[in-house]
Amino acid sequence: MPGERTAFEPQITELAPLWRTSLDDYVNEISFSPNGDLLAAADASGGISIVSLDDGKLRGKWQAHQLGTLKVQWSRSGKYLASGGQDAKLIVYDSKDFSRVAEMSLRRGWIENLLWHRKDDLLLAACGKQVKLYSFDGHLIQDFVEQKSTISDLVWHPQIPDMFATSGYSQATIWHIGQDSPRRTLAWKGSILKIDYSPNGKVLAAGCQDSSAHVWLLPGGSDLRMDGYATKVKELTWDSDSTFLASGGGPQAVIWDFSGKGPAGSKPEMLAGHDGFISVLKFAPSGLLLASGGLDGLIFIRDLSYLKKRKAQPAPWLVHHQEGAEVSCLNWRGALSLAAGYSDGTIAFFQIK
Amino acid sequence: MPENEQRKVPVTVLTGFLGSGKTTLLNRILTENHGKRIAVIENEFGEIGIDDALVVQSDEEIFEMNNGCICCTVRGDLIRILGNLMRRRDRFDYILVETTGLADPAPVAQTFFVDDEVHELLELDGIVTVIDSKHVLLHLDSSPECKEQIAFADVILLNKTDLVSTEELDRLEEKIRAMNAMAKIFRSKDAAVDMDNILNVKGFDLDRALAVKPTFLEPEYPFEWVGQYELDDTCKLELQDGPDPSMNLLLMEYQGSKPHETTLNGLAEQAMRQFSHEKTKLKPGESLSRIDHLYELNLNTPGTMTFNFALKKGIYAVFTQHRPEEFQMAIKTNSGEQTLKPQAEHSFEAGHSHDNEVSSVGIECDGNINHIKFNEWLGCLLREKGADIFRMKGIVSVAGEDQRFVFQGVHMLFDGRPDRPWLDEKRINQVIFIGRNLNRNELVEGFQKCLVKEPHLSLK
Repeated sequence: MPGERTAFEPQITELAPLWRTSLDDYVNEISFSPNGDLLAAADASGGISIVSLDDGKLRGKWQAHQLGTLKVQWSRSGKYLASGGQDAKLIVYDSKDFSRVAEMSLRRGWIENLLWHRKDDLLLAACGKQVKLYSFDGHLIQDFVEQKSTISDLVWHPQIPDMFATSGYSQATIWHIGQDSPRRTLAWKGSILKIDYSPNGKVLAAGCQDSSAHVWLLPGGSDLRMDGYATKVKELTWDSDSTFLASGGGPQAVIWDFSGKGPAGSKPEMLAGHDGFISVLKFAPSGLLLASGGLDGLIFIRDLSYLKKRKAQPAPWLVHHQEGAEVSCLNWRGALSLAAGYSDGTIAFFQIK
Repeated sequence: MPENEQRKVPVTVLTGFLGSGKTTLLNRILTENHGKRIAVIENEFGEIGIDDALVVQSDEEIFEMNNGCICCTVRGDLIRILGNLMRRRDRFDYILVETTGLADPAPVAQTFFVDDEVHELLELDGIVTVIDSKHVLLHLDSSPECKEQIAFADVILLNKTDLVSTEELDRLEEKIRAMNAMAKIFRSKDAAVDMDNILNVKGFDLDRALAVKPTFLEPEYPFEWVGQYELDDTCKLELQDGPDPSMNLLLMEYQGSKPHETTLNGLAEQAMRQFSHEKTKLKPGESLSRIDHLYELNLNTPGTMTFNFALKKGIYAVFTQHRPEEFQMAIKTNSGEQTLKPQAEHSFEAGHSHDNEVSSVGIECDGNINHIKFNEWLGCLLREKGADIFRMKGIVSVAGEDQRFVFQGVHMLFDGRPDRPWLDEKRINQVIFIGRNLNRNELVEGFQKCLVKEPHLSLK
């Protein structure tokens, strides 16, 4: 592994959820409505559930896709909810009554990613080897050049409007709305599973199938490879200041420090605690709280601000354990609350005091 | 990590050229297993005719791995799809993966070794290769993919048997057997075959490594016959004119005494190595005095040619390059009146069809291996020849260990562990390699160097 286990004995504080509800099916993804009232959940049997954030009560549930619903996301204004599934369909719902606004059938493949544009009326989706841009009401706006391999991830550039990146086998690709062909290709011989821009847009990080992570320093494009993970790296997250990149790929969260000279030649911070592989990692949208969920059913919430101060002791770790289930997804709502979805269909909502 | 209470879901991979009957077999599996929850991952040209089957179409995406293993490729699409299918509450009982006609099965098999998620949730049950018995010979010699599909298979279905004669099928089966000694071979018309022969074959289950004994066709030995005789220095070898001007002959000594044909056959491996060594030319009238040494008998003289045995009394195996009847060979006592009959004999088929490029090499011998030497040898072998070794399996007896050591591999990927203890049974090493351009002598000698001492050759 790239570094040593941290030496301190952390204090542990039990974190109890505000509420817990069960969808009775593997939760693929959860998304909060921008006004903070509702949570939408996508499940592995093709359903979408709407849960009230106040009390965790199920407000509605419907069958949206054949096979599974992989993605669900509220538009930035909260006016629409979009879902993508293993039936190559992209569906837009009106948030008022969840009636269908549009249904788009792509060619075969799975909708593995969808992103609402910051303007509310555009929706970007990756399905198989294609990326397409639709209007909210189902009109195809742009069909980007088909890729050689299936697109594994799709992210907006955090600073440059209309720019986005995709990943796949042997490359990450940078695109711009209005141009059908890629703006730039960042080659790396390997299968990239996950990408994430640093919030300042200066680094594109990639998690790879061959138990490694890769980063490109932008705009130059020089790259660094981080080896030695226990398994494939599909969990990556940046803190809001672009200082820390947290990565999974094993039972420990591996934290790379991009301050100063950056991580080249440095040893990462390794956060142990999980009994199995980490399945999801997310920094809070502000501050330095890092949430990790694992195949062991554990969620850890750790404040990494101690890493910025020499000799500082870490605050107690917050821990929650769900027996017999894997944490399958996790999302923050603001800096101090988050929800987790589990393999057994549980959704739990936590508030940090 | 929570215990994985549910058993791993088995996956069968169906390979075969276009038109071999692969889709017919797939539809048959789906029909005959009605009620089971079967998911099919179908290639882009698939034509599943069963409406209620869960079918996921997929492009075969081959990814190279940067793990220092030059031939390690995986099916990226399978990793994505299999992991996702396993999330469903109503988990599948079985998953079938249909490959395109020209697919190399290695990336599919390697996916199950390399990806932790796939390895955790699913088990590769077997690779089933469907063959169009009528047309396979048209591309068998020219197509590396066709050979790979045969070499990788756990089960081979010779389909469309109604279009060829039994003799043609026998010849085809022999040819295929020479390439893959490990596979079970079945014959079918319209892919009609007992599902138990296709599903749940446990081809990659270490617990069942070599549970089905490999069927080796005899390799092309450089000799056609062996006979076992009790000889002493009064015996003579007599030969007459024959089809060739010379014949190679090798004598090996038995330490045991009980004649047994299978053991004669077993000596063949050792004899083969001697046949590649330097030989001594011998004219009629000269003496055969050395054991484990190859002689070339000059048979250019007209009439009866006699060679003397200058040996202490004992039981010997006489290996001859040609069949004895071709030279009316006889071993006689001193007086010349009595012709000795072999106590046991074995003929080795010559000229059976044999693919030089893809073949199986089996090693079976007594003795215990030194695990350090064995690891070094196997590591070195896989590093250097891993690209050519398609599959291997083995059970070996490690010196000082009470448990059997079982292993298997696909190209450079290796999976091995101590297995159950040796019971009241003979501790024996059994290893099989299937691959391209395998050098039998090198493999056998390499393995034998790992043995703590030479295997005992006596009859038991």
